[in-house]
Amino acid sequence: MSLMDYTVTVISTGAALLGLITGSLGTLAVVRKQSLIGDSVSHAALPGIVLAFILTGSKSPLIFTMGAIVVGWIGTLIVQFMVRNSRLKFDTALASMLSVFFGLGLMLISYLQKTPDASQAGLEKFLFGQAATLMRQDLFLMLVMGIVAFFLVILFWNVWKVMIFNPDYAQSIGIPVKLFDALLTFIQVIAIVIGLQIVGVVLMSAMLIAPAVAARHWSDKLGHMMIIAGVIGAVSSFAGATLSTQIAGLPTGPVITISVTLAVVFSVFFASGNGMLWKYISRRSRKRELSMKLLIKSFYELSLEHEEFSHPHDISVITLRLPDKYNLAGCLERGKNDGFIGNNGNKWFLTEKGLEYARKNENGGELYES
Amino acid sequence: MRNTIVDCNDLTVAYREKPVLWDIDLAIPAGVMMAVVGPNGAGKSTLIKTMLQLIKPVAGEVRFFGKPYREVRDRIGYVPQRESVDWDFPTTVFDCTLMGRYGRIGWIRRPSATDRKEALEILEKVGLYEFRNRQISQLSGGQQQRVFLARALMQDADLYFMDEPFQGVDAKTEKAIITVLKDMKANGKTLIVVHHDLQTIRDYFDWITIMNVRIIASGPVEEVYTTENLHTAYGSRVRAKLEA
Repeated sequence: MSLMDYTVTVISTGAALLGLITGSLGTLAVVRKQSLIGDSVSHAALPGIVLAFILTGSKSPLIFTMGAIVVGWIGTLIVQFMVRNSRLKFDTALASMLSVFFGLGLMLISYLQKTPDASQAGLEKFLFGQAATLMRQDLFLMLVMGIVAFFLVILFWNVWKVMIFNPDYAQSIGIPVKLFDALLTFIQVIAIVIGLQIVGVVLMSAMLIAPAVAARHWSDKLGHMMIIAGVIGAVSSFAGATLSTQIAGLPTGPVITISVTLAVVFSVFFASGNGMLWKYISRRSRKRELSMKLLIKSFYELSLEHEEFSHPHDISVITLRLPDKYNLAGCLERGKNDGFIGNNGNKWFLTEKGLEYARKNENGGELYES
Repeated sequence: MRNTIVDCNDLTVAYREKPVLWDIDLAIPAGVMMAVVGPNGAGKSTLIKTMLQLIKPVAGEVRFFGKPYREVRDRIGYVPQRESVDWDFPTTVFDCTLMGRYGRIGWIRRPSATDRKEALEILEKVGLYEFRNRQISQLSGGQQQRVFLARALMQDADLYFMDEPFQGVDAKTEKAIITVLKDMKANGKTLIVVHHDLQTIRDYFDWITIMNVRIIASGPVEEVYTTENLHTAYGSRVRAKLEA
């Protein structure tokens, strides 16, 4: 199919929209430590979709969405109820609700498939998603629900921040935490449900979590994280969906999921600030600085025992003053390059610049802060 | 006699059958700096949380300035225990301080330029100005405690409840915090502080409540802070505690 094809445009736009909405709203779930909410809601939504069809006989996306939202939300409320009123932990409660609801959904689908009525065909597309069935009115529905969700998030921004960070404090300043907690869950249910047609029940939670996890590596601020997660979600979903339309046999949902996951892998390694590479580099440079301070300090202390600060010393004397695993050869090399020390074969001495450096760091320098 | 600004009547709290607070009657006068002491499990935090309506009592009521909590919320500040939150939350020292204004500006309005300016002044006061843009997990325990203090100052309340503000801080930070607290008291604020270190009671506080599920004694430190009362609260462990 060509890139300008109507279906392709709808699929790619839909995917981008989906990535934007789930990515940014998923950030709230992740910082709330409820990453698995995506899994629970999407699995719970399956019987909701089927029940909506049984009750109405209609296959309009609006009806499906309503069914998914209602039952998905009920599922989440059941989990919260179980956690509050029993000894079950969140993950246990979630796992049991998820399997029961998902099983119920599968059972209803199988049952319907055995009935002679052919109109049920296509319900199973919600399992793994089927982007090809996406139509323009679906995009419209996604857009409207996304706008409603974003509106609520932006409107009550202060509330979300303080409530997620410190619920007791939020309550003490007059925020009805339980009510807003339920509202936030509802917003997340919306985000999840709109993705079911494209990505499907099984893979939906990745869309919610992955962009936020990636974004956490790029920023330390909630607002920035949401924007970054939205952009990562949109770009990677768009790329994944477009790729899947260009190569025959590539399923859209899974390709999108993989594409989003790649963004996570990239961020984990290469993000500035919190990425592993970045941390490695800054840790290494801090370590190098510390070993240099140690080395020059040893030279300095030795020099105090002689009249001339530049009195040369044998390497073995220096080694005695340093920790066991100290990389002496490397540090001597760097110290020489920096001009702190110099040598005559095996005899090393402190330079003027080195002396200055040692004096500056005599009291531990800037190693500590209160 | 000074005005009573916190008045607890018959306050009782229970977790499943077991009473955690039993029949608490407490009158706290305005302008005091009061320590709440008692052994572990005495219900000190529970008492504070119940007063602030975070825990629902089985019986009894609390009035502030003669009114129920929700009518005077803006005049009451709260410093929770440091361990009660996840410091990995993506926010900065400055942002966290601004949260102290959320109670007053409401759910929807954003902090104004004046609010921001005041937050910076407060950060200066608690010695965190240079850390204002740091993510809150990249702070020491003492600095985190001061973030909570800054947020409380931002509330600009008349009455403060503080749950172990000296928990896990070094001597230098403790000194910095107590200076701020004494300054607050000098400005007419009333402070109610859950405190663990019996050594410093006389230096820091002028009023004290000694409790262990029930109130054992409450009043001026010089009258109430006696070995006998401590003995009743802590049992025989009190000597070890005082000598520690």
